[in-house]
Amino acid sequence: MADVELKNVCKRYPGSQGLAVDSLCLAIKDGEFMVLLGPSGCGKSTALRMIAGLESITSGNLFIDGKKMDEIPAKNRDIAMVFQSYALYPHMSVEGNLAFGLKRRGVPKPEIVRRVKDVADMLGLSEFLTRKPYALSGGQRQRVALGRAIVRDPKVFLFDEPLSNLDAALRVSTRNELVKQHQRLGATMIYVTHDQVEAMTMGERICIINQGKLVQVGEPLEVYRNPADTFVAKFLGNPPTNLFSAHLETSGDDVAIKFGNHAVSLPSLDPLKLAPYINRPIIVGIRPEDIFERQPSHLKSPHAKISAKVAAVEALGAETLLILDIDGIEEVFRARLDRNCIARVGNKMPILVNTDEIHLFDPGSNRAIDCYRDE
Amino acid sequence: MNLILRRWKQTLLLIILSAYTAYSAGPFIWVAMMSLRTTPEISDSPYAFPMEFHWEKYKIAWSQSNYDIYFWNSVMVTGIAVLSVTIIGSMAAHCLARYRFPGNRILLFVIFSTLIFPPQIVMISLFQVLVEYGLFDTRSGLILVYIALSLPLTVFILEGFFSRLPQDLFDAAKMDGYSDFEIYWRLTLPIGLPAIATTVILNFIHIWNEFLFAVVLIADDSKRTLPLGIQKFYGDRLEDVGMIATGVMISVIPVILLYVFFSEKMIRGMTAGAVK
Repeated sequence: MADVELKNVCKRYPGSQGLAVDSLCLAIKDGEFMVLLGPSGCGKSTALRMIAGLESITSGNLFIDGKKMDEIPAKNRDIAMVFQSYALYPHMSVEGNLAFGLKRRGVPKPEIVRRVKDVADMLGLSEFLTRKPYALSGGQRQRVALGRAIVRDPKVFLFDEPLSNLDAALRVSTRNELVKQHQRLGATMIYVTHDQVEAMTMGERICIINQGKLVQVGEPLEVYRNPADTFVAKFLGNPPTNLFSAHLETSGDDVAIKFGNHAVSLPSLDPLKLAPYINRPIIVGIRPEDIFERQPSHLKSPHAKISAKVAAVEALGAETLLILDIDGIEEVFRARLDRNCIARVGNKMPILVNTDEIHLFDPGSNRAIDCYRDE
Repeated sequence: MNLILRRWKQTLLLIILSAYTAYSAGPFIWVAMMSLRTTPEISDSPYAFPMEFHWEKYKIAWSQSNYDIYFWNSVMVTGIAVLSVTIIGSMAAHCLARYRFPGNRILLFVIFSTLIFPPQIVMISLFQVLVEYGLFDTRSGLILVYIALSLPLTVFILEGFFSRLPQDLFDAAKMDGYSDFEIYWRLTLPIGLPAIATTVILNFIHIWNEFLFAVVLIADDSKRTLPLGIQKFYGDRLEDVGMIATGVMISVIPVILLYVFFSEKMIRGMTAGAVK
């Protein structure tokens, strides 16, 4: 087990203008399950490969257990990695795959046999030890790849989108298996994914990366509830946060956002904190689940009423998604409503917005504005 | 109805395959039959089945016509050349496929572009070089020439195969602690065996049967390879067709044996990537 720290780590590929990873600063605690989350091509896998030692670091430093690792070759970092393609050696049996790393490290044969057996028992691979990878299912291959990492008992585990080749059902069970293994081993794990469900359910903390830059780090629900900028608000959550432009105005002692012929008073917001934005355009973010057909009995927070027209209905069984046309909002506006919602396309209906969960963003920097009154 | 249709299809397929087998195996069987007949018998009736099997012809060819020497020369020259080409070619292909370095693609292009030269063009310069370095009329000189001539195609075939192997495999081996050479030895070679078998067979057949360079670069009878030995039976006025056939059979048997052992891997190598 070990802690991992990246200090201003940058990566530039030869012949490329921009940075694939731009001044990444991140501290991962000993035994923590950290998820690097971001869209394809954002630099999260590159960051992981730099930690692994598979990519050189252009500038900045990497520390593992306080020891500088920039120039240390991959084989001497005591790190194990599980790849998206599993990367099982096709000419070796499951047993050979599990033992391959141990043989190179000069582990005595009886010890190799014992460790391979322990890991195979732990992951339910005992009956497949003599099989070659081609004779295994996707889930079994994934477990062999995980076993190959576990058997080495490394300081740090790295996972590069290991579940993306599995079908939906297997993904859920393997996700739980990974979390269980993390709890059992208590090891430091860094997990790269573009799947927000994986990030939200597995990570103790998540680190969101966009265009090579770290955007936000925090516990999953903290990040979900308080997105640092419009990218996080849009990226995290399915359907994504509704973002639209509005005008911020004062309304008595409160502030209000104005768009189209709507003016929504926001009593929870602090006019003093918002003073620089008064009478100026602002970006408003509302999560689809903070929109209701009628005031929910369990929620006492204030709700604003807005009239809308139903443009599309997606009845998913457990819930109903509506796409709404709202005066003054040009962007697609989605609402996640109760499964009993009976709205039809073309219906005009009032919707209620939980004004305690509205997010405001600076239109220049796209960063979130600290706008709520202090408790 | 389906059963009848299937039977018809099977019969048709059987007829086509039998015809093709007869077409491709016919010349071989004909030479095999001639190898057991004497030249006068062949002159009387070229396509007849042997009335008497003259197995002693193999003994005569082997001991009295120096075929034993030619055979072992061929084994040595071909064996060493094929082994060297396989080792050097697979190492070069591994580096070209696996490592990013400036000029990688240009180097591959340069290696491959040497294939376009017809052998006659390089013959004179090669002859000159070999004479200058004291390698003319030596088996080692001939081996070096064969290595140089076989490398481009070998590197090209192997590079194409190796570059399709997923990079993750090599990264995983790196993480497992293996050095670059160990990765080549323990991953690239065993995984690339189908492609390597393909190049081994192609190079073996080509070098085993090679005549042009051997006839120019070897003068001494004791250093001749099998194709030159067969030429001995082509006289100025008389061609000993029977002995030529026997010589051809002696030279062709190792190729067939090699193909029997490696053909499955060769087919896998040739069709690699064609199906997922």
